[in-house]
Amino acid sequence: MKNKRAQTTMDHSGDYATSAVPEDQRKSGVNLFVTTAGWIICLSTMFTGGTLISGLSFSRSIIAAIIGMMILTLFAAPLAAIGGKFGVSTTMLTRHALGKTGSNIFGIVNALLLGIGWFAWQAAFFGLTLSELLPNTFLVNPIVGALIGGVLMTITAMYGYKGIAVLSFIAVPLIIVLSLFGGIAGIEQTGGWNALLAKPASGTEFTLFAGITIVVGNAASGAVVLSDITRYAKSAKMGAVSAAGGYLVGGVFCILCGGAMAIAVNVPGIGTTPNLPKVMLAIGLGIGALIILILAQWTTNTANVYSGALGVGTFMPFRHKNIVLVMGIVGTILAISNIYEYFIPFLNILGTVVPPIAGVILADYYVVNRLILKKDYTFGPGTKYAAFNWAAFSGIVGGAILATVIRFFTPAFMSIVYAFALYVLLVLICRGMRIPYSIGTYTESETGL
Amino acid sequence: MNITYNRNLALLSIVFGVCNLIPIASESRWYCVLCFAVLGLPGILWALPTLRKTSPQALRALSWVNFLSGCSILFLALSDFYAADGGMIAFNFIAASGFVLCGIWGLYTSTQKLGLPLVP
Repeated sequence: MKNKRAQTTMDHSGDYATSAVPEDQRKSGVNLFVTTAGWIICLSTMFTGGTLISGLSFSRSIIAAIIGMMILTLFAAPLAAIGGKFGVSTTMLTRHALGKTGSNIFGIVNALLLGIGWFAWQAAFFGLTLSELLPNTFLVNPIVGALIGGVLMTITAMYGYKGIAVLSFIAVPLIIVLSLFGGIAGIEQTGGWNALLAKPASGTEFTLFAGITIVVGNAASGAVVLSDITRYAKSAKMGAVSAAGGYLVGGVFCILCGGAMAIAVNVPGIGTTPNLPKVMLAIGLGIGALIILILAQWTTNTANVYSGALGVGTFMPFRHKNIVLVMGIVGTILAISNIYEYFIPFLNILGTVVPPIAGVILADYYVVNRLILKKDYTFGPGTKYAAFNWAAFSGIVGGAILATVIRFFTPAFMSIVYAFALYVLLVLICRGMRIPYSIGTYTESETGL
Repeated sequence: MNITYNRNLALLSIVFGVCNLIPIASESRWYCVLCFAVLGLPGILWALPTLRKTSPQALRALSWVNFLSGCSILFLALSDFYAADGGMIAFNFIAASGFVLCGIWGLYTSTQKLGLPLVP
């Protein structure tokens, strides 16, 4: 795909919230791959490895991890390619798919879900992790750890993509090396590679399909906003390749190392989830465990608040770093006051409506625009968008409901598939019956707002 | 000018890389041998072509390799599982601190003196 970026310069936000990333600001393939991998490699992915080995043998866990990540790549790579092609954020992409008002709604949902909600949850979890790893220090109080984590993550995100990229260049290689040697320690303590492969499930067995479901369900939501990073790619192909590489290399590797470590030592889990900090300590990783856990959460949560703020920047005339700062402060206060726990049911509801948005974006670009309307997206001053695309919203709501009602595979992924199909179907029906599937028109101003 | 920076950093990388390989001589645990080799060799192997390169990009790349190798060596040397036997652990600490300092110096030079961005 050839680049078709909006011809706008630096926007009001200071981080291209409402315009395309200029050609000279785009990054190398290595930079994109490392930053995308930093986004994908997170603690929950390592925990997934531990969960897999509780119900599958290690060899079957490998298969589940590879197939699960391949499924994620199937929709994450095309999504990342759109970001790479046009150089705009996910919220900007939704202007075409959802209309301007719909895009604003997505920006708000994304800010509440990622920028504040999950940011607060992750910061609080960061505090808990530190208190577990360093019980004889001042960090035994999780509030102190949550405060430190919240401040560090917010400051990094205030530097925008550059901050995330530098952090990822430090974090990703260190996490990979330390996890690799953690995995090797796991292999050694299990009795060798063959013993590890033959090791049966450590808990109640489940099917390979259930294992794949766990892998896909864990990471499906995060893939929706991948364009916020891949917009810095030099081409659509580079965006897609970096996303695919991040999932297939970083994701699979993280799951397998988490599994290898969890299988080696018998540490009581938290429900079906392994207590990975304790596992890493028991395996003898020492400070390496601390480094992995800190960096994995740091990269992920910085990306959360970054993406949340980017969405808000598409309709509010504030600098990106100021939006990050406000979100970071609110999220950190929620984390240290434990109020975030009351928001978790609300976050879960929001979490069910975000993944189908990916289905609608993919359907709108690849099917409705490219195949049916035979046209391409454009961005920049003067571009006309619908004010509200009700067919897209029906697809999102329908996809979320269907995935909740029809219990097949993982709801997060299936809601994407349902939303994709529903939206295309609605557009075809509306076009056949000559009914408009969007309401009103919005013309992009010079500021992009 | 760059050739001096690159050559100096490359020579130091080789020295510290070899330093990390020395504990292999008295190590019987296969996973520790693997650890010392995997973390010591990148500094050496990356330094060899850098000896002839003049670009600031080569300096920055080797600096990143050094910094990350040094941090990894340090964290694993401090763990129970990968700590070298007896006094040999001193070589790991020398290699780790050397790599980290070289990495920081190289990154500082390539960004502040040679005008490159911190990440490629």
